[in-house]
Amino acid sequence: MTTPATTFLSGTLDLIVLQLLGEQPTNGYDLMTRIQATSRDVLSVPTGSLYPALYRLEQRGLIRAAWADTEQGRRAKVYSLTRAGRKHLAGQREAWEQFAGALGAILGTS
Amino acid sequence: MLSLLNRLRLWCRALLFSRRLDREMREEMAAHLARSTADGIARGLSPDEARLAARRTFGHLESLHEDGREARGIRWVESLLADVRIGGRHLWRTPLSSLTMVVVLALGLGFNSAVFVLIHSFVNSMPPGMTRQESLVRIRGIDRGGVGGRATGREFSYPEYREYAARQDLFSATTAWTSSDVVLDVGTDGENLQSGAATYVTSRYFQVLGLAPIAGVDLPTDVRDDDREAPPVAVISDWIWSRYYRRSPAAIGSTLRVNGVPVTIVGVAPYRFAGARSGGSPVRVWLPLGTRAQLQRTTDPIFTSYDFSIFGIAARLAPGVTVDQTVGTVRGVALSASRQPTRPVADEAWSTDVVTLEDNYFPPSGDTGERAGLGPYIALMVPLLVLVITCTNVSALLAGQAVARRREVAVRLALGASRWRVIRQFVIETVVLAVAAGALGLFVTFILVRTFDANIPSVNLVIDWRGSLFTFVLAVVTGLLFGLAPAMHATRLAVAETIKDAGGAVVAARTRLQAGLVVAQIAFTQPALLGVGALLLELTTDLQRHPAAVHADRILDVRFNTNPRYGALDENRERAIQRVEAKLAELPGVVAVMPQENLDDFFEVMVHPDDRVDTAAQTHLEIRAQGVPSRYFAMMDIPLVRGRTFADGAGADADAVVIGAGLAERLWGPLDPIGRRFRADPNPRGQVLFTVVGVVDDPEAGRGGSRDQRVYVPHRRRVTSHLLVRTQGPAESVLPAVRVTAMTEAPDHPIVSARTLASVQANERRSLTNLITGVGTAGLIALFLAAIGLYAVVSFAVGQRVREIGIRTALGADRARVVGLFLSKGFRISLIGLVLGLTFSVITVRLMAVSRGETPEPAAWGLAMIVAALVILVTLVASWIPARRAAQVDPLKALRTE
Repeated sequence: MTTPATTFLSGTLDLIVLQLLGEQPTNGYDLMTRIQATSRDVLSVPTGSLYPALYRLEQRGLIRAAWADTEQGRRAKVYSLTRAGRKHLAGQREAWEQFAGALGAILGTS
Repeated sequence: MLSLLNRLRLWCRALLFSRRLDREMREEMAAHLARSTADGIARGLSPDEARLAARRTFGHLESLHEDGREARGIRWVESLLADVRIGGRHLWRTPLSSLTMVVVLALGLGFNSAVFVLIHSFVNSMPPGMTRQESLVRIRGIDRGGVGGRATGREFSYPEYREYAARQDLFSATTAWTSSDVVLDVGTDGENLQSGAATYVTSRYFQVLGLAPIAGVDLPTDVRDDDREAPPVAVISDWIWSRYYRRSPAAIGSTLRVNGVPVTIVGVAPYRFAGARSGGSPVRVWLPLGTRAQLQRTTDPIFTSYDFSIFGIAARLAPGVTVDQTVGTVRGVALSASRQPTRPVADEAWSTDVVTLEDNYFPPSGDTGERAGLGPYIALMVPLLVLVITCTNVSALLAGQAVARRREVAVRLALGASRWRVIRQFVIETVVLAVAAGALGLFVTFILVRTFDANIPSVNLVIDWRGSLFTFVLAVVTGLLFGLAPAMHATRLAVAETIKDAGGAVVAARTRLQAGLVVAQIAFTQPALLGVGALLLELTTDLQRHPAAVHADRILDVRFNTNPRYGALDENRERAIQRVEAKLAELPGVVAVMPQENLDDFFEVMVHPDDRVDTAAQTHLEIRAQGVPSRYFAMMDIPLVRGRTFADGAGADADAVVIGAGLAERLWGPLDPIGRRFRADPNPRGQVLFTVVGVVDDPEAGRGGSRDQRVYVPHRRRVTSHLLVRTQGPAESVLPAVRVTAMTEAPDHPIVSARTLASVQANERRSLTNLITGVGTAGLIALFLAAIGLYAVVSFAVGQRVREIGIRTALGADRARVVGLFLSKGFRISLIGLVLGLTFSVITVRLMAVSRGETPEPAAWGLAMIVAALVILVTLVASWIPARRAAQVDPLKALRTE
């Protein structure tokens, strides 16, 4: 199996989870595979981080969970973004873009 | 706001449905694993390999569960609850000591906060029946014309009241009142007369005070204050209403007689209301001011003259006016009023201040610059001391337990619990204990306050939320404080050492501290007990000194008012009472009537040097001289054994004294006491104060050591406070006739009480007995607390040495020796306390004696010995209980713990 190619910058996991759930509500397993797929196998989330992150976000009211039947006919917990989560995501994205821009500028000039 | 609510909802969900959330989490993770396995199989792995691979990537399931729970952010609550549960269970396992701690703490807390409530209410409460109102104030007169310019209270004259009332810019409404002692006849035609008070009020009195009758209507408001034709209507007190009318609505409209004048009841005042000042009689009626002339049979020009200062004033501040703004004006009014009376008032002697109705203390007036009373709060020191002792004891008990649990603590620490975690456990246990004690303490407070309330109707006792909060905060703070110390101690030991059972040094330090506390407790308990004992002794002597007089049931004690607030104590009054006396003597069944003064005179005397014989008792005596007419002895059946009684007639026998046979015997033995003299002591001029003219065989005059020795001197009329009426048969039967006579002859000076001497004495005995019980209980509680402390120390020592006891027992030490070991330990500690305590006791005995100018009586030393013996006994029992437990230690169990 793949080893995590890049360790997560702190806080970025929350951002990724929120972003992906914002695009489409999904369950934990699919979320993990989607992170891997979307990042072209660069990022791999250990389950040990993913679930606590989900619970933490849920506890903070940024995402909500509901039980639903998956296409395979299993019961799975599907997470979706709440309104607060959407707002939070927007804020975080902006902060990230600023940060990334600044970092890029620094790295570009040096 | 919404998000906050949302967060709260999520938090509650996490807390309340934690089991369901756990289940769902497991289900979710299981589903994840299943998907992962299925994907593995799809990639061509065998089912077993797929499952294994899935597991490997997933990670350790249990720790993931743990992390998941952690993420919900309520772990600390859960572990707190777990700690509370463990704490509760632990306390439950040692029910006796837990119960002791709870009870001891609850008693301390309850007592403390009850006294707090009491003191707070005394200092700071509205008069009973009234509620706090910002704008309601009392206008108080101050008189500095007395000795040394000391401020005393001063009542107002009606014209002065009018001047305050006229200042409507400051006071939107004003009322004045004046009270007199009256006789009330509640529709029983003279059968059941009741002495009480009448308050004559200006119109709108109740309105100004913010009160409305609880039944019926208010006094009429359209009557002029000085209208002597004012309708005789009254608002009665709640006390009268419930006592005589059983709270029946029919009371309204019925008639009662005040000083013999029929008055119609129109309303009932609020519960316990007895006037705008605390401390008035609850047997009270309120009437329009105009009726005063008729009811008090007076023609004094009170409405126009400044000479009749008889009014109290309350007022409503005008909107926006503060107390401070009124000061200048009211002082100005007082100043100009002081120039008016016929009898001149010293310059600047009169002043006036304005205070809220809660200010029960005089004078907190602004012009002296002092505020009322921190003083009463100093009384709080006593219950606080009790609380400190209580806490010390509880702490000692807890420390004992903490040591007993050293091993448990060490194991927890070894298993990786942080020190903080273990401390938290201890603190939580104490807080659980303290909260339980706090709840029980509230109950104790409630009971105590109820008791106070029932016995002190003149104070508005309120347990407000602050009082309860006070108790609870006190409980929790106490818990924290006293839980922390043992917890710190228990966790300070190194794990390895504790498990090896070698933490001796720290434990020893702790033990010394505790033993020190107990020594102090025992040392202080002794003088306290000694004080209590001395008081008890004195009280019981007093009790014995109240023998039923020979014909107590044939002597009526008829008392008159002697409070100047309810009428001048002048010659008119004396003449009226003399008339009553003469009339009473004519009543059928009455043998004799005799005036008596209320207060005896006290003298410090010594036997005249020329009249001394050689006994020690002659140097200093305190005597209580009761003024009696010569026929007193015959009437009271007191036999004269030597000499004569007093010669009647004004100025005769000015220095004569009749003494009891007991005193005569003590001072002069078999020699003739007649003609012997007393001098005042200390006395620079050496003149004779008394000459003995007679000796009576009187139980009253026989007792009392060198102080409080009763002697009789000739009666001189000053202020007659009561008449003694000797009757032929039982005195009860002439009681109605006596009352009617007194009321017809002296309506202005109503009888305050008329009872047979037998019932007066029974009453005195009863209140003495109550006092004895109360004092005795206090002493027992002090002893109990000291015993608890000692018990804690000894059981602490026992808990510490379980292994040693086991070894000793295994090596063949018999039980008695083990018991003896700990008994002697407890005894050693108490012995130090005893020695110290005895020293304090000696000082106490000396001080008590010195304060009375005596040499210590042998009885006091005996008492000190008894107290010491009692303390030894109690300390022995307190050490014996845990010592016996030590002896029952099973050596196998004690040693197996290794």
